[in-house]
Amino acid sequence: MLSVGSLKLHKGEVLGVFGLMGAGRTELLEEIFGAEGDETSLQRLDIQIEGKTIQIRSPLDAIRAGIALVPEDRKKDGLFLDADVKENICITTLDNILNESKRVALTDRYINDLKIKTSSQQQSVGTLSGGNQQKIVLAKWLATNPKILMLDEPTRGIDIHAKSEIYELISKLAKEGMGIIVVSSELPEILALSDRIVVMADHKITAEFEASQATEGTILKEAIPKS
Amino acid sequence: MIALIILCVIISLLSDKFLTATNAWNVMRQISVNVCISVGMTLVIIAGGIDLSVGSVLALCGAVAAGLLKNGIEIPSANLYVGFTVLGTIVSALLIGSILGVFNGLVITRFKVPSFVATLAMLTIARGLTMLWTGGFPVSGLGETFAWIGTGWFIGIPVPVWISSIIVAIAILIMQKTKLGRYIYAIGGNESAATLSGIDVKKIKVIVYTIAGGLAAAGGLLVTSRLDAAQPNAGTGYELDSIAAVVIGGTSLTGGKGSIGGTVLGAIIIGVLNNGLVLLNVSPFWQQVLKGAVILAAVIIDKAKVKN
Repeated sequence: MLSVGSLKLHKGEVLGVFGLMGAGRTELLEEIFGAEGDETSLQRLDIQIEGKTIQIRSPLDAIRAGIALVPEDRKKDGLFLDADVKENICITTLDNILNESKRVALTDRYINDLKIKTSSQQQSVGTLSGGNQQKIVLAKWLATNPKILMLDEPTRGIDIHAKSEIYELISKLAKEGMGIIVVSSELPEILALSDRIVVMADHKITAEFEASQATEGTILKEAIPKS
Repeated sequence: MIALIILCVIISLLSDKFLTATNAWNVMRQISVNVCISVGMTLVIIAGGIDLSVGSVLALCGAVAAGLLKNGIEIPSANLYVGFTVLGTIVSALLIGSILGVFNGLVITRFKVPSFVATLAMLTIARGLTMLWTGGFPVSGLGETFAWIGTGWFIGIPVPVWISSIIVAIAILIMQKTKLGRYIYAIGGNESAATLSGIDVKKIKVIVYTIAGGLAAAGGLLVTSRLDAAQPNAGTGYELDSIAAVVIGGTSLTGGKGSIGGTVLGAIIIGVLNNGLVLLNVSPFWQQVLKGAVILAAVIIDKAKVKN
């Protein structure tokens, strides 16, 4: 359903992207999402969704095309730490004139669906645990009904329980037909989650594996830059 | 709120002129200019910026309004004369204030000039333009209709108080009930997250500075109308009174937090303080010292509250 150069993502598939630090994984996601700095530097990528070439010049374009990005650094790029749970979850789906009952219902739905532990919708997200903060970032993107969900290091700084909840959520969303890209520097995580794995080194894709054929050894070998 | 009540009690104990209807309306009329400007300043500061140009923009728009109303536009070479009605001058002044705001916004978003620097430049530019337009002399004698805006009464309430109250009400609605308001808070709270949430940060910033410019123009109309004259040095230092009102009102200079209601309260506190000190015959020099002390106290109390 999504094609970016040689990178292909199918409907209902979890695509793992592995690379060492500096391999260009985060930059790849940011470029797809139209988030890489100025408009002028963008669109070196040939992006197609469901066979149609699309121009993505800003995150807004990406969101309209049905793409969502859960960024690597949730405190810096994902959350409004001083604002409350409801503001954070609803920020991507506001009407021009706010519909308060709709916002409360939406927030309620995701607090229940994702089992977010918060005292109320009015709790400031800065006071929540890492796992619950990550669920709030997920919630604000799920609220946009994305076709493609890109997750950058989705379980960094999160306790084991929340981690397994997020793994379950990813599998469930893929089963429902969402295309999912997971970038991670944790090999076991990539191997456990992915249907297919691509390896990046030096800002290029160096290898592609079916998950069943990949091992930690073969993946690592491709991840180390030649030369 | 408590601070304001304490302040009023102290002043009314010291002066029997303070708690009279005449004086109350007088204070309200005086602060309405600062309220207009400060509403715009609150939006700018919540969005994570600052606007130092409001005092000069106020002067320029007031001067333009006075000049257009009195002399119209005359181009002898083209044998052209355009006269302006009161409504025409009001619209022109608001338009010019908004255009200067758009300019501020574009400089800040397109050329990535920090808002402090961009609006500092506009402070000087607008003041210079005011001097050019007026030749450095006051423009006075603007007629009764125009004077009504700043000095008139409507249903028992001074017109400037009506105007500033309506502006406050609209601003509160925008900040609480619209997407634009939520976006302004979001941008000031975390600009990077706002961009990545699909918010057109540049567009929203331009809108915010445009509103601030338009409201400075509204303040300029009130001042010019009340004095029945446009002074070329009007509004000098108003940006500081306005920032003071915003800060006393609990809005954080780092952006993302604050309220219009708080700013109105801040403007009232400054207005009551000014008024009380005059009634008590405190020297103007001590007035400045005390005003500074109140700003400090307000911010320190606010910090202590946040910690608890």
